[in-house]
Amino acid sequence: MKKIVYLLFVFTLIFGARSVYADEYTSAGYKVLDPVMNAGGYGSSDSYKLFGVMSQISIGTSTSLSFGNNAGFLYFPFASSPVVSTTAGNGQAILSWSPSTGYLGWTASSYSIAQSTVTGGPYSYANGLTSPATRTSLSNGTVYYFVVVAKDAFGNAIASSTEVSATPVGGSGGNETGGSTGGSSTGGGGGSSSVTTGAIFNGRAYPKTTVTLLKDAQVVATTVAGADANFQIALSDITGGNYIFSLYSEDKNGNRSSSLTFPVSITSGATTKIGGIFLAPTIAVDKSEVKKGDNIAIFGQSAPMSDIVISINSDEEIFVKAASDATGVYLYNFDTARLEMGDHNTRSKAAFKEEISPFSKTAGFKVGTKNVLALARSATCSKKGDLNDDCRVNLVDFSIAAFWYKKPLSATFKPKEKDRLNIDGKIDLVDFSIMAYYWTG
Amino acid sequence: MARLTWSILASWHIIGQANMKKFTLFFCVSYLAFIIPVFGAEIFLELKSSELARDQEFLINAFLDTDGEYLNAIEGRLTYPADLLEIKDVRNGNSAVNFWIEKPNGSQPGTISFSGITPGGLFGDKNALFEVVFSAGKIGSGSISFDGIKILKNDGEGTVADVKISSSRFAISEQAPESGSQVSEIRDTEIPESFSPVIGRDPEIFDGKYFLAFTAQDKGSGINHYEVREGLWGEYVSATSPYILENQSLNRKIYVKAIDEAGNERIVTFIPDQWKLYRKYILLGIILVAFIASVFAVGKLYHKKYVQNL
Repeated sequence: MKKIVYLLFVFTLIFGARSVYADEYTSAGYKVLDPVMNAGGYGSSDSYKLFGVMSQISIGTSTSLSFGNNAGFLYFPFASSPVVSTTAGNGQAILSWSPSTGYLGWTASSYSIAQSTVTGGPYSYANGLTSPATRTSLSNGTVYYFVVVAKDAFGNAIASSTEVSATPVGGSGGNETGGSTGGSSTGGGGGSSSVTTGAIFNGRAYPKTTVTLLKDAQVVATTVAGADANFQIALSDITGGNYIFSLYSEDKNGNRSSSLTFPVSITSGATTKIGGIFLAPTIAVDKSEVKKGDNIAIFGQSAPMSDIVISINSDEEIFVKAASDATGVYLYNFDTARLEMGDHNTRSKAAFKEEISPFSKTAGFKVGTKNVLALARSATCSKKGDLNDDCRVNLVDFSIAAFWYKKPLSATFKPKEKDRLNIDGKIDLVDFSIMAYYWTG
Repeated sequence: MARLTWSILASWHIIGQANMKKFTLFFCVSYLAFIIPVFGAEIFLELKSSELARDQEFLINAFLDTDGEYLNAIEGRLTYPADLLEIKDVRNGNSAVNFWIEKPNGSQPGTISFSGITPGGLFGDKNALFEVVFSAGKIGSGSISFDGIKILKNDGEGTVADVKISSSRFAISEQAPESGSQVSEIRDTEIPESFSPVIGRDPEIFDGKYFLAFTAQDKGSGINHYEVREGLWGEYVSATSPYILENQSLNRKIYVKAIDEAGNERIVTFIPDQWKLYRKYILLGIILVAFIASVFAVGKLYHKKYVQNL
């Protein structure tokens, strides 16, 4: 009997027993074990009040799969705004959206669609939807406005898209037509469609800069954003099907943004509108090496008058805030006294009204014993994935890599593979994956 | 793992030293058996009906669920019993894979190898990869499954993603519940998507010659083949990318024709920079010749009108 009890005890230990402590604070979503009581009311101002501090022994110790507890500095958890596409149909509208990416503990767990016939609302909400979602029982000829709202596990709204619209029409679908298309001149034979299929892209980049649109990894159109950084691209030479679109821009200094990629299902015979595109800021630093204690300038471009959050990756992630001016340019002089010696990198994101961009590319620098100015952009265009030195990653680089696929590399190609791909001395799937990440079309 | 260690240590005095080895092994196996595996992406197959009749044609679709992550590269093999099934067609129209390193084809009995990338990354729970039309052969049962699957994250480093692999079982009998072909005919009237060929050159490949790289998508039936014509008076020849150009001077327009499985075709014209320069020289030459001819004509007229009348 004694042995059975012991065995039961051991089984319990293995398969699920947890220590039980006092839990003074509980809710449906969390539990605070063994809390330390502090006097409330201190550390207050007109705009906030600090009741207590939840802390940790060292950075990263109190993390789990579902949350992280960052202590010591101010943090700015955020989730990027979804990119939303709408396709109007007969008494309905199909909405699909890209995932909202959460940072610093925020995770998009579900999505709601806010719907109204008046721009700006008030909205009615449909909760717990997955992309694509079809809104039915709509009146043909009426303009409907939608906002996709990302929510965390507790149902709190953590990000929302810009407002997009759709006008349901009777028959086979919408009849709005697209505008100009880019790319090579084309001709064709064989069959063709008698109905108009198109896509319209609306978003925010940087003032008066060129925005490039890729369809299934090939450049199909470019446009120049307005002074307010807004842009629109209409694509008409397209058929129904599933596509992967990417957009990127280059700032006034020639620095390229990270690509914003999202899948869209284009309906044949209808115009699909894609809204809520907010390109990540560009980012650069003025020094490749900075003497510890000196300032390093972190700068780039985004939409005008945006809030810019800059992350500096050290032993702990440090966040600072800047603002872009009327031309979208931002600058932050960061004091490196608080950084450890060694390599660091920085990235940024932008917030404009309710829209939040994804994080930018990263810019690297070293904290050392001397100041070394960073090279001009023309001398430092990203070499990753670029095998023919044209500052682009496209089909030519793919063809060169495909030539060496599963073949022994030549002595002259080996250094290139080491410098621009994954330094394992061969061309395999990993090299192509790196190329796909840095793809420019 | 700490709990497992403590559990084994706590059991020491009741099990005894002699049986401790067996006990430890028993608990380790039990512990591992109860661990819920955490998978990320899933590659899976869809088959309309697993009950097939002899000589029946059926379609199997391969999909990828990215499980909330952006993934950009995939490679592997689809395996099937070659003694029971025969491949009739492999389709990749509307595939989420943009560029095939190794295009899936049925040239090797029992295996369909494939590898490809999607720049920017795939995302979603049902990304179409490709589809295969099989014909059921002799009576029997078997499974179609994946092997050697490797899927990489779109993170710039080629990090391997966790992946769950699903397979499909089937049985072939004299008579199936649903007889007849399960394969619907593709009615494709759309021409292939627009595409943008690019010219490249690398001193180490193709003897340093200029080559043309191109790829087109066709969302309906998929691309069947390409043809290239160099210059207005040239002839179309069947081509694959990369295509080594005959005219290395690049002073002629290049026409690339993409033809889909239904015979629809799109022609894209590529104008090399050198051709633009060449055209300028030709225009300049024509203007120069026209000018000289004009001067000559005016001179002759002047000579005829005034000099001869003197």
